[in-house]
Amino acid sequence: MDNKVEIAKDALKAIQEIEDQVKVENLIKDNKIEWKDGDQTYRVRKPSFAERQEADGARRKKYLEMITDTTYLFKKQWIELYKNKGVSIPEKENKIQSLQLDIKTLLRRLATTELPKDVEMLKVEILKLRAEQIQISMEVTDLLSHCIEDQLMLYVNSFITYLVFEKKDGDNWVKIYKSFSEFQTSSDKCIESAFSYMSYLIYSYEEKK
Amino acid sequence: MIFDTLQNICKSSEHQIYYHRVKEIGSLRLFENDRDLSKLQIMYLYYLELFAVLFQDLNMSEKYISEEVINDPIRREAYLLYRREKRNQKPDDDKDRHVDSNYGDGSVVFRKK
Repeated sequence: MDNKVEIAKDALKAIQEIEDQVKVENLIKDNKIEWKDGDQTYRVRKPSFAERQEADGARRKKYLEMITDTTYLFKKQWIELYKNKGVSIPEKENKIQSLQLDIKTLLRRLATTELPKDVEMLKVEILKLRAEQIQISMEVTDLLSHCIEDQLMLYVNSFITYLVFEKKDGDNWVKIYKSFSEFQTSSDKCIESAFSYMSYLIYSYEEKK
Repeated sequence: MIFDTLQNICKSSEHQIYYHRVKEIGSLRLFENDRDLSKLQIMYLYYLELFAVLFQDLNMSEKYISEEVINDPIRREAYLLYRREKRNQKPDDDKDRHVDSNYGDGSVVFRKK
């Protein structure tokens, strides 16, 4: 009986893997991503040149608004503020760098190690250091999440998603929201999926710049 | 998660064979779009090339590469770091090598037995 359960589990896992592969193969076939939610078919696509220009304009306006608003601060200003509160961001960033050097040293050893016991030991050590590195990195991201640079990136990515988010209407694809403010205030669940799929289509705005 | 699946796809013989055919035959295409590739498509191309390099090293019986290494993400990363650093090594750093000075830099390199 136990054996049957194990076989069934393995079969399910194999089916899941195949389904995941088909899904990903479908995502890479072109530069658009379609999905169904209930009876409605949605899609996001890569922005056209004109849409990218529109996003640039929106970015410029938002940036101007942010630098004239005293409640918005640049990354450097946040770092200075935290320093006065006894939190050192540069120290955390140095720790991330030093952990990276340690990881590289272990990776070099792992590359030339063939004894299974030693391989496992090195892998455990690398994973431990990497987990520590991710934790500090998340702390830094969290502490600086309100800076102008990150907020602007979030804004432009939202604006681009609004521009390229469409639903199927007969044989045509139509834009879902009439304005960006309508998109921003909407509580439609499909927006979450749109954001998630957009991250497979474009690098975040700042990365690209 | 999606990137693990993407790597598994790129590692598969089906995609590797197709990738090599696309490189040989100009009329074959990997994607429906020719330009303006998505981030996922760019990563797909990157992983296809990466696994092509790893399988090539395996076929050439290079040191420290095995199917086990290719199938293990951390060991794979370790091997790629080792490979990159070995290739970036200056000739002076490589004590096993002897360059015939008559032919200057970049000439034939004789390995000591």
